[in-house]
Amino acid sequence: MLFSSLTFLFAFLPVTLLLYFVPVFESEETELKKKNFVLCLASLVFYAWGEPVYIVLMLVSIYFNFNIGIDISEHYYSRKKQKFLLFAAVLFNLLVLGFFKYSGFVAESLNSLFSLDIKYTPPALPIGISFYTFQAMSYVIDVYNEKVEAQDNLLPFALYITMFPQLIAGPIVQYKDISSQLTQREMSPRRFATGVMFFIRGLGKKVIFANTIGAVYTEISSGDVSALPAVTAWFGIICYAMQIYFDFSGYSDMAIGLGKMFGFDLCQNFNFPYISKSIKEFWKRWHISLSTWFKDYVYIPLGGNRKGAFRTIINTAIVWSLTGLWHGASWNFVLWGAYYAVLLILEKFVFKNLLDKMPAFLKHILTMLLVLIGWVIFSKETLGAVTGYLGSMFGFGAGFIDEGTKYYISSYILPLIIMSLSAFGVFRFLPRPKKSELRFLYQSVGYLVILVLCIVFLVSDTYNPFLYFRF
Amino acid sequence: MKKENDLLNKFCIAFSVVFCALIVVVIAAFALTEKKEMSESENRVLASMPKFTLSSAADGSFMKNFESFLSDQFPFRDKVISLKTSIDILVGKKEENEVYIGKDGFLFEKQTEFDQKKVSDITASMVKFSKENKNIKTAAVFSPNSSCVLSEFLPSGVLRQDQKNQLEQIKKSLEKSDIAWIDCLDSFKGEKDKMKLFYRTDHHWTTQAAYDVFLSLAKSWKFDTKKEQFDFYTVSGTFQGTLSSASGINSFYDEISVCVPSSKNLSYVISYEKEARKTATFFDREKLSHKNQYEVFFGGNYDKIVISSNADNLNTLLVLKDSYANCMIPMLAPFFSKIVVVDPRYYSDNLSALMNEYDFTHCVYIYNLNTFLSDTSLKDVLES
Repeated sequence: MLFSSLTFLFAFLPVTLLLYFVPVFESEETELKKKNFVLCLASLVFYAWGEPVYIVLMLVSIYFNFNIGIDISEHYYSRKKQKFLLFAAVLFNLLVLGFFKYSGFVAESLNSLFSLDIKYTPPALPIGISFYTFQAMSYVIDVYNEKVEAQDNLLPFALYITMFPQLIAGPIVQYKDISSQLTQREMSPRRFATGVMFFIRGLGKKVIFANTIGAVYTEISSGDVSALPAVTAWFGIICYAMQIYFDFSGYSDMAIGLGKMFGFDLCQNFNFPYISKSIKEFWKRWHISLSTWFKDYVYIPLGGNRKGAFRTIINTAIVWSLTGLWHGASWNFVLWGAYYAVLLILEKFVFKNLLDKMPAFLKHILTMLLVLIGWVIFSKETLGAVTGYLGSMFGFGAGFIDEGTKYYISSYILPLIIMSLSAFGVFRFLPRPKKSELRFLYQSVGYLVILVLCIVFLVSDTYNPFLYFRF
Repeated sequence: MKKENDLLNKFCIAFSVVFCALIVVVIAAFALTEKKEMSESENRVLASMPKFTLSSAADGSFMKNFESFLSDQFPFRDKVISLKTSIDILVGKKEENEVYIGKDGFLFEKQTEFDQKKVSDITASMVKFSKENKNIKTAAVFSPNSSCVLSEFLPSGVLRQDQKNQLEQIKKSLEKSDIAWIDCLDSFKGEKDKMKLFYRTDHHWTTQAAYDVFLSLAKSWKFDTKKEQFDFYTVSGTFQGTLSSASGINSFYDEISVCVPSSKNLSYVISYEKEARKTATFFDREKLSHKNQYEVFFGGNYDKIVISSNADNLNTLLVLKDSYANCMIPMLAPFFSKIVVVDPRYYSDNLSALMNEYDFTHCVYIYNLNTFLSDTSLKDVLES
């Protein structure tokens, strides 16, 4: 199920809230258990709504990681045995992820590399598998490193893995950040209201912003991308940048908001990435939970930057290739990751002095240009399309501007300006009332209007005339 | 300080309650409003509550259908969609579902690309057909679309093809034959109010436009249009055509007029052969109470219609056409004792058999450019 669906808004969410908040038991402890049970069950329904079959895979993953977590933490086992168990656990999770996400890609790559002819139909990708296997891995690794106690109760653990707000698109919650909330959490009107606002903000980002601007890039890049006028190509990739930001950060906001409504604090996942003045800063602001995960569980275990410049470069390259590959089983994602590895290395070792002297606005423009080029690589599956599109951007397509460009720009400039102001965080600096109550009142009205707009957009999305024009 | 926090707390409760209430109100409205079976403007059956079975849940079809059910039966759906299109227009969007939103309420169909090879294939078969039937007087009526004639009403910056030039090209490729070219743009020139030539909400030309072109056609065939008089009647003022439906924009209504021969001495029998149905009128008034009111002309498009009249001549006419012809055919009726109307898009019989059956004296192609450029059936029928 998607948050941005009528089923979620008008069936799933109200039922879940009702079951969750209407008290059944007198004892606070039993009531919390009921809440956890409701949330866990709801999450399974939520998952099954999109992937009825793969629910089995998720249950297996929960059961396995739960048990191996307990085993790893057994103190009478030798460290060696614990290490072996950890190895087995990580291997299991990677194999599951590898089989379902990357086996088709591997077969295809082998076929084209060695001109083989392996006939192989890969399984359909289970939704959210990249997110929940990473969460499970962070748990077993932290148990091994004794950063967290193993969870000896299946229900809270199952809740950690399945919790529907972050199940399909993150943020990737680390067990250590949430373990205490699984058994004790604060629920207050203040928190619920804040959660609702977060949720509506995210829904608006996704439904009003991302869906609207997404159509532009789809249309611009549907034909021959190597024969676009330069301005059209730039306009298209800027729209794509807006789409992907609002889409992804919108999902994260909805997740954080829903989390708050149920009493959880999930980590922030986006922090105005497009105001960054360096690539390093960009990755501290974009999909924060993923970069943190790779830093904590790959980069630092590999030695990070403590083993000299050469190892730092190698480690950076490994981490970023994997980060790229995590985004999708295709070579362009690896290329995209490698692109960022190169940029980060150059930024750190080659151009550091030069960049330090550069005025801030130039650094910002340079960073944005590099990020936009990154999105071209990200959005196009074949190398030919990537180079073709980049060629168009730099004037090797169909000149500079044409009638179509003007049409796109005049049709979408207003939405794009509003979205850019929002993405650059300009709205944060609008004057606002000092009194917190008054501020809250204004916000409430604003968010309710956004919610109504979202519903209007969602319903209209299905206007689907079946007409024969040519008659 | 404590007091302020209390107030904020109350606001939080109020906001949370309003949020939940909004959802509950929508659910209640959904439960209470009557479920519709059809969406007339979308011309499709709306989803109904899917049946829950284990297999429909296991393959996910139940979930998909449930979402369609919610959105199709959403309370006040039509109003909600109108609101959305208004928002789109407000922020500068110039098209909605492949329909351009023009000035003054005009909606425009996107133009069909000109495919050189395809066009020369069709015109070649037209030329060949006319050479094989040398004794039949043939004319070609190819109408430009509203986006060409009323281009100043298009939203600015729209990618537009030069239909005038495209018509010239078609004309040129027909010059190898005796097919008489009826210049529609030229015929429209006499019209003072160009806005009357096309509907605002539909992709067809108006009866007025068809009449202007009919006069040119009659002139080319040397018919005496002074002797035959025609009456115009406005039959509808509530027409919202295909472009309105497709775009979801329904702020304008069009009028539909019909044009009929004045002479009371003439009578007609229109026979729909496949349906084994005969009527004495060109019009199907019942269609005026449906969404697509343009079907008032002959009740829509049929593979073959035969019109017999007691007109005092031996002329017989073959019409090969799309729906643009439907409002023009009544004007041609007094000049022929028999008219056979073939719509190649539905016609699956052999045209040469038809040519043997009737001894045609005249033949006319009546198409609009968008249909003609995307059509493949005409060529197939001509070669059958």
